[in-house]
Amino acid sequence: MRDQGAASGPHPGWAPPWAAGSLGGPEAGGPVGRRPGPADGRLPAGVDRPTLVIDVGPATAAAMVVTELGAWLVPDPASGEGRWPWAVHWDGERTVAGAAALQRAQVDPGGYRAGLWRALVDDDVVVLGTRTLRSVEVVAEFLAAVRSAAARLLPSLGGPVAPPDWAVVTVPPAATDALRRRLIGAAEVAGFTGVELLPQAAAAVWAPGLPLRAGDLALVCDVLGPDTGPAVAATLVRVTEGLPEILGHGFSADANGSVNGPPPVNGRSPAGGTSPVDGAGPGDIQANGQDGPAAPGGIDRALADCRDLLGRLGISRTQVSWVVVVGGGARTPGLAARVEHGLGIPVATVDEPELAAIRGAAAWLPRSGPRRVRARGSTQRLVPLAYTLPGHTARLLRWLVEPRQPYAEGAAVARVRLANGAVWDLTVRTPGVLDEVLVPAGRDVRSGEWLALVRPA
Amino acid sequence: MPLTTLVVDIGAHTTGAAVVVAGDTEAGGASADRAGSAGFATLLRDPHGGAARWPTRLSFGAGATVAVGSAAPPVRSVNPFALLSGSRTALETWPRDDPDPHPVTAMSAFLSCLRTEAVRLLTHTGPAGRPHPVLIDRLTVVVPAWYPPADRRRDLLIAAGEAAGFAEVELVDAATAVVLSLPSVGSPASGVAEPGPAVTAARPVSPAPVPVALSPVAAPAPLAMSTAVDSPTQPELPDGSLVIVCDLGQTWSTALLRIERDEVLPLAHESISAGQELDLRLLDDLRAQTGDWLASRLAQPGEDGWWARHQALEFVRQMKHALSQREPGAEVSGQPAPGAPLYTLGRPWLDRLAEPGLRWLGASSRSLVARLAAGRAGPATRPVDALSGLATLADVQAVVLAGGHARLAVAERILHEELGRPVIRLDDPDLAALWGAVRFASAASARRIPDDHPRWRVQPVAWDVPAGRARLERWLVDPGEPYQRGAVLAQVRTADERVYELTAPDDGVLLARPGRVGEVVGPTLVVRAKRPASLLAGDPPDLRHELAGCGEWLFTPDRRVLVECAATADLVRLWSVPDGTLLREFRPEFDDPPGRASSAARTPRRRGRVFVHPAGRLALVAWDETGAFWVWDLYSGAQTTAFRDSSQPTAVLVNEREWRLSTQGEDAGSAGRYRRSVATVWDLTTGQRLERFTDDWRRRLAGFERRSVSDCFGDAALSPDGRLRAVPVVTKAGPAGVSLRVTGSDEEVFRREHPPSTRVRVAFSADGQFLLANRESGRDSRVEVWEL
Repeated sequence: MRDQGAASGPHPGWAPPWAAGSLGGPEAGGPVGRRPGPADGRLPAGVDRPTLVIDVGPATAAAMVVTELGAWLVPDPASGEGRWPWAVHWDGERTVAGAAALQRAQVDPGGYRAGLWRALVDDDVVVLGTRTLRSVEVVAEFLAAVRSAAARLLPSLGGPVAPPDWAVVTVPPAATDALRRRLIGAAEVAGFTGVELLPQAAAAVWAPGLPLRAGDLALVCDVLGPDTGPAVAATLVRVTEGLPEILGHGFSADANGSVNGPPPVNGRSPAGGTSPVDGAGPGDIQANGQDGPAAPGGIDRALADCRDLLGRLGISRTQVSWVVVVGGGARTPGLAARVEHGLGIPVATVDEPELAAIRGAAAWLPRSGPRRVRARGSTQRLVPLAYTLPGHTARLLRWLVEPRQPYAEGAAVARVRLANGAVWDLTVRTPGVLDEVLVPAGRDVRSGEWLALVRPA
Repeated sequence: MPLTTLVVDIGAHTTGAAVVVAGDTEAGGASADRAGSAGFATLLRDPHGGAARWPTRLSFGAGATVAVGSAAPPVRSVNPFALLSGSRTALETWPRDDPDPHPVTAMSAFLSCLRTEAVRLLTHTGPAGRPHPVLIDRLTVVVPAWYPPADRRRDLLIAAGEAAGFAEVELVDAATAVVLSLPSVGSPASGVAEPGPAVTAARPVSPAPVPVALSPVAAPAPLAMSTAVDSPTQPELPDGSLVIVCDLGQTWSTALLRIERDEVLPLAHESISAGQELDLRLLDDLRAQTGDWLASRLAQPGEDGWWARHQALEFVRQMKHALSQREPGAEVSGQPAPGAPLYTLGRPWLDRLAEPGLRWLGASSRSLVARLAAGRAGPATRPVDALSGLATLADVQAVVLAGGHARLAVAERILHEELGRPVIRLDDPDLAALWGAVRFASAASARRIPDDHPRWRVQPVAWDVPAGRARLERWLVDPGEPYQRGAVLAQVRTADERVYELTAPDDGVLLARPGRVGEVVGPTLVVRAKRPASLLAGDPPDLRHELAGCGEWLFTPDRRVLVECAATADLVRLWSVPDGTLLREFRPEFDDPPGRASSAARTPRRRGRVFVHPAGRLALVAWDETGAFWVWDLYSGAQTTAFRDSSQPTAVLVNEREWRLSTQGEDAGSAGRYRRSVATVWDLTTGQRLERFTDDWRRRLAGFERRSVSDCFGDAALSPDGRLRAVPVVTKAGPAGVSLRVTGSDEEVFRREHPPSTRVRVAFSADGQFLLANRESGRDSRVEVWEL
């Protein structure tokens, strides 16, 4: 099964209300109205600029471009699929990514590399023909290709000609700091000036069509496919008006239980290999465009791990409102019923579970607030409070006035101890109001350092 | 309630304490009944012995009771001062089963007991028959000069004071306190124009508190001093004086200090444990004279042996003090205990034992002055000034002796021999540091630092960091770089991995940015920015200072220092641009350079200018009408060369790049209508004559100029950020002001006019924060510094 009608055009997720009717936004569907969002009917804040949302899976990635007008999937240009295989090919002059790389690998396997996510996790060196690249560099080339595809798409959507320079990347909740930094670094090398990370489970909760309300506890089960060694990543989240709160997560892999516990990003989470026949190679692309169905034999183990997770967190099943099953493996027939029966918690699903995270991220983004913070404005000039200290340094012992408190001319506003042990009072020449303390008591201060902001009377 | 401070001078063996009650301007509180609105200070005597100093010891009794001073039995007590230094000697008789007391615990208990005694003495019965308790919430502790500023023992003392419940704990080093006790030192720490309330200290003669109401003067009465050796009157200690303090306690130390604008500035110190060694030598002497009597007692195990040693040391100390002020050949005798052999100590022997330590102090004091002269003394945060660079022992105004061993008569003699400077021994040297600290504490209310004048064009730009805290992702504008309204100046990343852009509210220039990339910032992020120049039109800048002189001014190539050179070349001053302080003053000494000797009956007229050596050093080039030339390096003050030209100079030019000088004059061999001018070129490095031209010399002297070409003053100036341009205001009568314009639009945003002058030159400081305008007239030459 190919990506289902998501290769072009607006997706059925978020769209501004004025376009909701035509684009099928959340307001158009019944269940969507129950999802977290502005309950008072206020409009979502929108986005500052066209933003590329990227969902990274073990073997494939997906991207959506989000503008003020809506959100659209960026399909793999070679396959038309909604998800791009994590693969690149370098022919000696240029790099191609996704399905195009798979195609070229048939004739030139030396310049091909799949499993880029795994390479990034392990921070491997990647060889593409005569080039030797760090994993960050090769992932950057992959992301640059996706960004270029988005740039070609944007003008037709009423956006600017320039490629998007802001990215929101969904990541597994257990991603290490090092992996996060590498991912951010790769995106920055690809040309993004701002790179945000969003936990995949938190994004999935925002997927259109889920019956969640603010305050619900939801167990998000991301069911991966056989090419990843049948696995379920379970994350317990608390649904809020904004970004859902991650309460805990666990990971369960294969029916034999050989992997149980280590998160996929740190352990041997399977994802592609180093050759076209290893892992998500050219012939391995899944029929549904995602990572394949979960093996039925692993479900019992996964359910046990879900129960363990709840037990570890001290959460009873009755406290959990929904189990949200997402990921390519969620399409496995009978899976939802088995999960619901096994856990005793109602199961919520979406139409395209393999795109739940990216669509959720695209829906969350316009509601997450602006990313531009303007400096404080004031009709009255702010003046810094600084002192020339005998001996240049001192320890700020205490403030003698509180923020917002007015003071008179000559008043002592703070007390310091100099390096020689003498205690001095810091005074003001003119009356005013202490606006904000910049240096708290107990810290060492230097001559000329701004200790506070004041408004002269 | 008046400010009340406990002042403590904790020594290795004894501790002095006093309490200072500040003047109560509202005429209320405890002091009002006694001393009106004036403050007072009183000595806190050991209530058990009545001595002025308490033994520095502490014992813990049953029921958490604590005894200090004479009330604490010597055996099974601890010395909190020794504990502070990590010494185990104080714990020799401490019960083995008991855990060692923590230094802070012991010291805070010691201080608490002193405060309890102070409160008991100060609490009095009011008119209604009810006691008026006194709150003592400030503590001033004298710390040894050998505790450097970052020393852990200082932190322990502060922690102990705070643990004892004092809201404010101040430290003052002993040498500074001793200097403050001198009558010729001004009010301590009163560099700011806010004098403290009237407080006076005096030496009480009885254990009871005898507060002394004072006339409203800012400083307490000084201690009495004995006449200084070789000085019939007490030496004056004016501003800038160097003083050496020799503190002769158990540790002997010498400290070099400078009295600077009523502030006492420690410059360097050295110390040695000579006091302890002297006592140990006397103990050996006692052992030798008493034979088995003492040896057998010292050999006793446990507390008995410790007690015998303790008593023996006390005995020799008493003998030492009894003898120290006697005539040179005197002897004293005594028995360490009834029935013990007689012990005799003579002045010659005592002097001989003390002499090595005193000689060491003399040598060490000379070393301190040498270190100062070499620029290796003084606070690291201050630049080495001219006084430091030229310091010699002759600049030391006085050598002050303090501490118990200052009573040794030989100390005055030996230190005078060693240093050749007036030696002052205070009448009560044991309490000198304490009374100085009292004076220091009484001036607490005068220790006020006014805020800096806010810079006109510098303003804070503040953002509320999203989520309160975020990691600084990157800066997008570098310091010094202009930005426009709405521009993104920085990115921050919150804990939930959202990235926010911090944008500018208005046009400006980023001056400084806090925090490094990767650091967590919040809840507010503030940067320094420069306001747009266009705002100058409605809000003119402040005149920071104006410097007046009679010579010419040069602005150094680094655009940080102003150089004033008198036309007669007898004075050169270097001024700091930001604060207008005098950095260096140089007065050259003119000698006769080699060559034909001067035979003029009067002093020849001299001229001079400052030029910049190719290596960047400032040099004074001076000459007189007889053809004598001199060159001095202004940083070192050294004359680098001198030479004599055969002709009378009519024009002197300098080529700074080649460091050569040309002097023009009349050819001595020409006469009448055939007079011809000649130019001689000299090497300013070697003082050698290089060339002599008799004709066409003007063409050959390319690169030679009358004034420094490195001078940053000019007929126009562009600000470092390129946004402002300064030019003189020129009228028909001549230059009459300075005008500041926006580059590009040429819009005038600031103008300052003054009477017409002969020349106006302008410049910007290196950081662009100051506009400098130099105007010269027939009467004077001024530099105005405007803060932008």
